[in-house]
Amino acid sequence: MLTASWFIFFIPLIAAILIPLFFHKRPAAASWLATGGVLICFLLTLFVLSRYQSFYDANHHGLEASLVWMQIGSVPVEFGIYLNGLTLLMLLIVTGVGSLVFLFSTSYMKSDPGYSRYFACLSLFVFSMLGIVLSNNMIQIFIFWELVGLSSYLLIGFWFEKEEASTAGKKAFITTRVGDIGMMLGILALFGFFHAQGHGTFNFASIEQNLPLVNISSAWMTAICIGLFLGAVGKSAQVPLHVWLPDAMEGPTPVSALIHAATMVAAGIFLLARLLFIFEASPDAMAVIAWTGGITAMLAASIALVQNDIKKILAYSTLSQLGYMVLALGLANAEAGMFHLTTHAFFKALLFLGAGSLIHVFHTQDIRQMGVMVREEAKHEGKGRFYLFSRMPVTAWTFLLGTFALMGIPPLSGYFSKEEILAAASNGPALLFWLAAATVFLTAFYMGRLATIVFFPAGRASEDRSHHLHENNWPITVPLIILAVLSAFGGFFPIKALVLEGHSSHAAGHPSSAGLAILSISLAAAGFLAAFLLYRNRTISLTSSVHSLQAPARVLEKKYFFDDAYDGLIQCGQEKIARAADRIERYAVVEWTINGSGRIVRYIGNIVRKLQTGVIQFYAFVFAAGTTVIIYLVLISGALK
Amino acid sequence: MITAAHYLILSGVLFTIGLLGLLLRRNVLLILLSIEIMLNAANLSLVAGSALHGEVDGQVTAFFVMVIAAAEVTIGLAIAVLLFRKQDSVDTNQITFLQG
Repeated sequence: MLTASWFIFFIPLIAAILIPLFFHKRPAAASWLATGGVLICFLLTLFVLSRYQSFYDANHHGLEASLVWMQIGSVPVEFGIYLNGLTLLMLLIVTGVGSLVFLFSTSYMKSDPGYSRYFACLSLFVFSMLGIVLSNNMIQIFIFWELVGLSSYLLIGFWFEKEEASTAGKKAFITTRVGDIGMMLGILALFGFFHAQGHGTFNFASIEQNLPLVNISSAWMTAICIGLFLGAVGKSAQVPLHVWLPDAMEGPTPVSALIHAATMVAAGIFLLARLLFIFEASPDAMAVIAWTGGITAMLAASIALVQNDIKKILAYSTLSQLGYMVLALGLANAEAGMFHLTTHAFFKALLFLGAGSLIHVFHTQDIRQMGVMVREEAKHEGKGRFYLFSRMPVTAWTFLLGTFALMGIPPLSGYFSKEEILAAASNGPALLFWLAAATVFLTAFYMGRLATIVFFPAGRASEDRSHHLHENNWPITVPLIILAVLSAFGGFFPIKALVLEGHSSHAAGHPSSAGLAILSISLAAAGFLAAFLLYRNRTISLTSSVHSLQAPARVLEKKYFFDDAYDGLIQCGQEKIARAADRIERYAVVEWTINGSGRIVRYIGNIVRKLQTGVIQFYAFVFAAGTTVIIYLVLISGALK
Repeated sequence: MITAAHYLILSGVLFTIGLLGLLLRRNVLLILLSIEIMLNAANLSLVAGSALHGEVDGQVTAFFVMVIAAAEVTIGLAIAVLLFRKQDSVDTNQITFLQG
């Protein structure tokens, strides 16, 4: 079991190393090596899972193994793995969804010149993610946290010759780095308190054990928790560090599915769940977390209303769903958050891969253009509104299923997990609950808009043109079908039991009531219907035809001015500082200090070199005269004594 | 009676002659010669000291100095020959390679 875990840890790394070394010129071999590696990881995870229950029954704690990496004073810094229910759940998601995305990519990225580089980066990413998930201490989790940042940078900027892609990569890297600084400060401050009181450790289990023994003032505890939470804010793209995720859609679509829907953004949620025992020590920090989640859910969902890029809509939807998870964790309900994370990983990966399948065929990401193309071809073929379902049945049906799962229509998986979160929120502040409930409506609305425009376009078209829409081949459709099945039945998996491991829930018991269920289902249905009715016959955008909607639409299109605010901040603050620093460097450092010292040496040298006449007897004279003077002085001093 | 002081005075006179030759002469060969004179002045004082104390240490050192002087002359003359070939002169005023 332990050996298998180590193998799970390192197989993707081996693939990531072997591909650039040996398979650079053999892309097909590279892709199957990477895909096979992740698939083996997944099978090993299933094996570990099958053994874990009996291990847990015998020991009543998770499996931990570590090597001491270095010893700082009396504090060991470990490199190890820690397996418990939470870890296993994340392992299943990362390797399971990961292998489907790898399989999808083998076909989707087929003609790309960077095919083997793509798989090397993807393997590196999976390795880093597994490192976070398996880690048993703060230092290791931070290292892999950064590695995830690096590999996401590589993958977002995968098409680096495109200006937007490389900029998006940088933006993702730098934005998450802002959060990472907070996380590092949190780790160090926590360690500082522990070390000062003789419990110095980075190990999660020891921290949990010793937390009641260590005396930390509540203000400091809040600061530490906020710091750690900042790391999660960056990685899980919560307000105000969410700006990188929509831009990250510049990466290849399977990358968006893997990183920006199913795994990387889950790292922040995972961190919150893993360290929930620390966060629970500070009610203020928990309130901040819950509110951040609620606000993110609402803001992102409203921005998604006006997006036209299919991937951007899904990206904002991801933000919004992540907000739900953070909200649940902020209410100390880790099992609801992790439950939603799992089902979300299924249906959001499904939606992203479905979007990839559509983009692969339509060669555009704009939903309006997709709708126009479907309409034109339907007209050409003399078919009606449901034309796409006959031409791309797998993509269309699975995408629709993912849409309903995301909206929370029973009995699909999203319904159950969202219900848990709403139930948790109903115990929190009322405003927070209504934020979450309103988001249900918005989610249904923007997904309804997307589905109506692309899949049910109105039956009239401006001109007849055939685009030859067709279904994709099996590496694309098979992952869609598997994910669709998971999205449909994911709600029945014993995910909460796996996370809780027989403990009772930290949060107060609150079975989801019938009223809540009716509320959420009717909100979702209302949202979808409203969108369908508004957009089914519309060829121009709603906001440009209804005058009173233009001002709010502009705010939404500008994404609440976050990007503009940051740009302004950078121009006013950072750029001025950079210019001043540049001037200091150019004049004070280079001109005065470096060139200046050189000039002084040269000046002195010019004077001193005149002494070097090159006439040998001059040297002999100086030598003799010097010796004479020294002997004279020695004799004088001897005589004086 | 010739005392140790006489030897030492002679040695000092010889050394001064050698030193002045070294500083004032411009011919490399004569400079080498002056160095030999200085070395022998030193040898004389060593031997005189040896005789004064009745021990052989000074004499042994003098023999060492002679051997080293022989070696030094070999190298010095070789350099002088090479200098002459290169510069067509053994005048030290014209040998100023080290001028800064």
